[in-house]
Amino acid sequence: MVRYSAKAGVLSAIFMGLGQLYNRQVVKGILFLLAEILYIIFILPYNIESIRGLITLGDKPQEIVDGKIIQGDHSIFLMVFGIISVIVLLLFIVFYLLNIRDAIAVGKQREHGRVPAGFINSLKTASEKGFPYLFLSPAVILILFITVVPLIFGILIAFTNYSSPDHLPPRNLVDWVGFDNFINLFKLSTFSRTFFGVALWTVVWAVVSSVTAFFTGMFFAVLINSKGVAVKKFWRTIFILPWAMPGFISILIMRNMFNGQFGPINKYLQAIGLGAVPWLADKTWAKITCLLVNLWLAFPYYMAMISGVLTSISNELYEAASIEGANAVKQFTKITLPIVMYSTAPLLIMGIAHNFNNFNLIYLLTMGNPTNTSYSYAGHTDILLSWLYKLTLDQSQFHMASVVSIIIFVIVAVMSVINFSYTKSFREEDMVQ
Amino acid sequence: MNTPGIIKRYATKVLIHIFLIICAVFSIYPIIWIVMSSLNPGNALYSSTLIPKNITISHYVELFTETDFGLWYMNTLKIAFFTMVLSVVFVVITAYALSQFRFRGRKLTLMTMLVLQAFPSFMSMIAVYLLLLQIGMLDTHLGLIIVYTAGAIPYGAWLVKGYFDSIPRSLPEAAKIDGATNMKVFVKVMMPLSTPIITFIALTNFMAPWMDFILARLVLRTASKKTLAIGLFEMVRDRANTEFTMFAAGAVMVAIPITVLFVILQRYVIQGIAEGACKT
Amino acid sequence: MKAMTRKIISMIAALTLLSALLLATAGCTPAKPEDKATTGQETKTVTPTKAVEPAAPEDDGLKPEPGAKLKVWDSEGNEGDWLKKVIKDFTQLYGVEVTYEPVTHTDSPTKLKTDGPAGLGADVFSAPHDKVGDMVASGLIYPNDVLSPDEFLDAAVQGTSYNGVWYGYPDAIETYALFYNKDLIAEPPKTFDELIEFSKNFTDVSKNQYGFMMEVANFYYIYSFIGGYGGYVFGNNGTDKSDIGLNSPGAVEGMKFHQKLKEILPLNTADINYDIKNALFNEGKLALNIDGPWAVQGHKEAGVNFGVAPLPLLPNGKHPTSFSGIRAFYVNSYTKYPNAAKLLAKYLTSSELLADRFESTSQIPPRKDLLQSPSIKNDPISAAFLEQAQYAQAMPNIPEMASVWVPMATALEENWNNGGDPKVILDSAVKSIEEALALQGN
Repeated sequence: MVRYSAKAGVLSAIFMGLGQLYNRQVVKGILFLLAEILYIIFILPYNIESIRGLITLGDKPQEIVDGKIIQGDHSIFLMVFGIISVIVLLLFIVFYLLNIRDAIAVGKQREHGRVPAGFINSLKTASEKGFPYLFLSPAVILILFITVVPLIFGILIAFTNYSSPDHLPPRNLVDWVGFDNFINLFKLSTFSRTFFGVALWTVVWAVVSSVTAFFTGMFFAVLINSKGVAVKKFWRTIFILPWAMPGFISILIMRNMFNGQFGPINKYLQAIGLGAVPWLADKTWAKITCLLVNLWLAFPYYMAMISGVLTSISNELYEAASIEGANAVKQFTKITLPIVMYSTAPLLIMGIAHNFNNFNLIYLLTMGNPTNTSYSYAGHTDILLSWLYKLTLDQSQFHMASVVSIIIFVIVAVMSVINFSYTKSFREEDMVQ
Repeated sequence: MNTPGIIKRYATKVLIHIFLIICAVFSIYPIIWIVMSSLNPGNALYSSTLIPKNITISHYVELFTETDFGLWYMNTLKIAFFTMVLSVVFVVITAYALSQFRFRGRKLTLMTMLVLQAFPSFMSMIAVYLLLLQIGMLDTHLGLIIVYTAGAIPYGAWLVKGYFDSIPRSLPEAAKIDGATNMKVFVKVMMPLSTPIITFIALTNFMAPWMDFILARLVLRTASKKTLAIGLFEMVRDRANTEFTMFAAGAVMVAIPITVLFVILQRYVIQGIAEGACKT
Repeated sequence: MKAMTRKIISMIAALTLLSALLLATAGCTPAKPEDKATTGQETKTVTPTKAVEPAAPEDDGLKPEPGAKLKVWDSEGNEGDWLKKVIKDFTQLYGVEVTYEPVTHTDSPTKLKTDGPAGLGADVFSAPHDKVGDMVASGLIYPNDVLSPDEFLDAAVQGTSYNGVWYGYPDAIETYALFYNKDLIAEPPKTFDELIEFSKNFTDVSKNQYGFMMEVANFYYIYSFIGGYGGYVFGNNGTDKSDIGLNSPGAVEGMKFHQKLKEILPLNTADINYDIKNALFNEGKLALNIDGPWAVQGHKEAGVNFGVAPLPLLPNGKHPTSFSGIRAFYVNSYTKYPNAAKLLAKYLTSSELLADRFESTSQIPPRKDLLQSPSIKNDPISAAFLEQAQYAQAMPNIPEMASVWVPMATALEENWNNGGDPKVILDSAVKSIEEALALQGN
């Protein structure tokens, strides 16, 4: 038996496209060949230089000669270019491996006596069998470069000494320091006290804010959608307004509205006989105020989303249920809720993950205050991210900021994955129909 | 005649509507404040009375005469439109692949998309800057559109995938049996059935560029390219720039088209498919 | 079918990778950051026979490089408009093309961190002085070896210097002072004791009427008390990070005075915010307000009949040492034309131009020869700010200053809302700062 597959595999390993040519798939072979040639001419040198830059992070700092500043290597720029380069290289390697695999596979076909398909036929079968990959690749490429590269960069900073005042490019070089930063961070005593307190509130904040917004949105979606509600369009439009208004201005206005002394909310409360509430001044009320403001801002989004999802529920289900004597509440819990949750539970989890890091609202509404003297650089309403900002970014300690970011990332990622694995959406995916 | 029944139903209706009215008031109240503060002379948002004593529309006038508001508006409109289109395309094809096919790496892709969003991204901004610099897309609207689209994919794909999942399998399968290709199934069967959720994705991604200034400031450098969000934020960032009331006026101007768009699109987002169409 | 599938996968991957390769190829001759030398073309020792420039008034050898083109950044509004006007004159005089890009001056240091190395930064830009330490540590600016420090106010030179080297080309100095509503109080109080007396009679919380209000938890303003009593932030004129004077006896006295003010401003710090204070002053419900020149325009538009006066004397008879901010131009270290850039910066900060700048922007020029200028003296508001500027201290500009704000804000909030022993509160704040500083410089 002629070992087509082995020979083809080896040929393709030596140079892309050779195996395909050996298998008599000329067009495919030439394409692969061209790809590797282009790579070697245009991309390889760039890859080599950038990756070298990534490893060394530059050798020449800025110099001043005769009153002229001569710029040296910019460590951070080198790092980013290096990461991009690594991704491009990895993509090429994957491509290379696929070329080998393809050669082996087609070779095997020949061993079984079949004639390898022509180019046009290959394309056709590709668009059918390989369809999901075809449809996924644009998104994957985009996300790889625009989300993954920055993420890797953000993580790598934690292993350098990129910080003020001695390691700021372009004047100074930045160096790799391994795990030193992690070790140093945990040496601080005030740090751990602050960390656990702030982390606890962050978790509570993330979960409560998302869940309240989600279910409030669902409540209004279902309510307005139900029979007997007049001018549905009107209600939905009114309730969408908080979302349509840029959040920045809304939060600033809320800050005034909730003002303990001058705000209209307290004025009304006092007018109807209830006492004034220290919305922003008391540590517990401040937290409640954050949650209320978030609720106002976020529920329209969920309301609109769930309204859209509700349309996928066939009316006949409800009709059948009515006939069987189920009242509105039962219909909701047995029909609406499961179907909606099925589609949107992952989004609720993503929403919680997002709110975990939603420090815009906290920063603008309370600045993290009221302050807590036993915390270091944090107040009662600070979440991990806003504390991170004050502790590290404001003071240009990027390496430490990155360390804390990684910790946050690990916490949130683990939480999300665990939660998600338990949702029905994941487990019973293929059982729904 | 079931009189108590009718009264009960009527009473419920009235109660529900009263409840909705109260909630509507809570929703609108801050908005009214915002609008009123944009009519407040001087730079302070706060006013002792809800309606300022000396109402002025000078801030709106200044918006158009002293700033490049019109230019920002057009820029943002353009960016928002293309972001909307591109996001929908990317999200929908990704969701289709993830929902209707089973292949190696599928679960991994799903989980990765879920988790990617957990990393606090403001440190990584400089990487996006340098990436765009390398491919020459810094300070271009296209560059910003691409960045927005990439950000829209994970969340959107999950949402649309969920919706696709809830469409009965019998439908695409029937089409396949009739000889349709994957592409045909996608265009003729799945998309039309998903108009509500697609409209929602379109709406959200149209809105986002109006409000984001972090990424916009990072990518766009020259004055002629600025978006509304950048322009408005720079009004209040400097200590010397404390023009909050003009900012409020700008914010009102932003909220109007978004609300109008929502009203128009409501029909598609909310309305179910006509009875009798293949849902069962 | 597996073989088939694999074949297909590779086809797909081919198309995908081709696009990725195209993407990367497009970026292969990228806008590489300015790495190699702004090779020393024009040094200062250009031979005199080259002097063919028309009537260029410069005579210290600072000749612009041939073909020089400059970009300059400053905030929009009055500053930007003025700049647009004067760079035309510069071009006429020196034949150097200058373009203006509007960049808010507080944003330029951050922007420059990425734009500088990318080659997109301005050659000359305006920035607040408290970023100087940061900019020098990053290596973003050229020293100023062109101007003579004697011509400028000491605070201006010190504020824009770092480690003994001068970097800035100062064009404005600002500080906060006392705004007073002339309809509510005819003459501004000269001492805080007078101010407190007046407020006791005037303030009526139930009517939302206040004699005096300031942002009591904002260290930027409260420092004036701490400094006035002899406290300081960093020793050796704000440059020694190991000597923190925030819990010194002077600082403690300043905090005691801070507590005293609560008598006439019986509110929680959370309820005193800038926007509300601004509104109360606009509505005539607030008589005395501590604020800066940025607030002038808004109050004028609101139609308030107000005046500005230097801050009243503290009970110990001293002037409160308000923090001053110095605006200055800086030369980008990535500039291709350092000589031209320095020339532009020098031109923009000459006596004549700064006097003109004051006319356009009402920002006080920090030049000694303009202190007595009639146009400034005749404008009562500017004159008041200028007088307060004499007693002001420049904010420390070392990078370590960034670590001070949050702990001090906490201390001020604690001191005001809950009272207690200021020494204990300040000790705790200083400890936070020291710990944060220890975490740095590894």
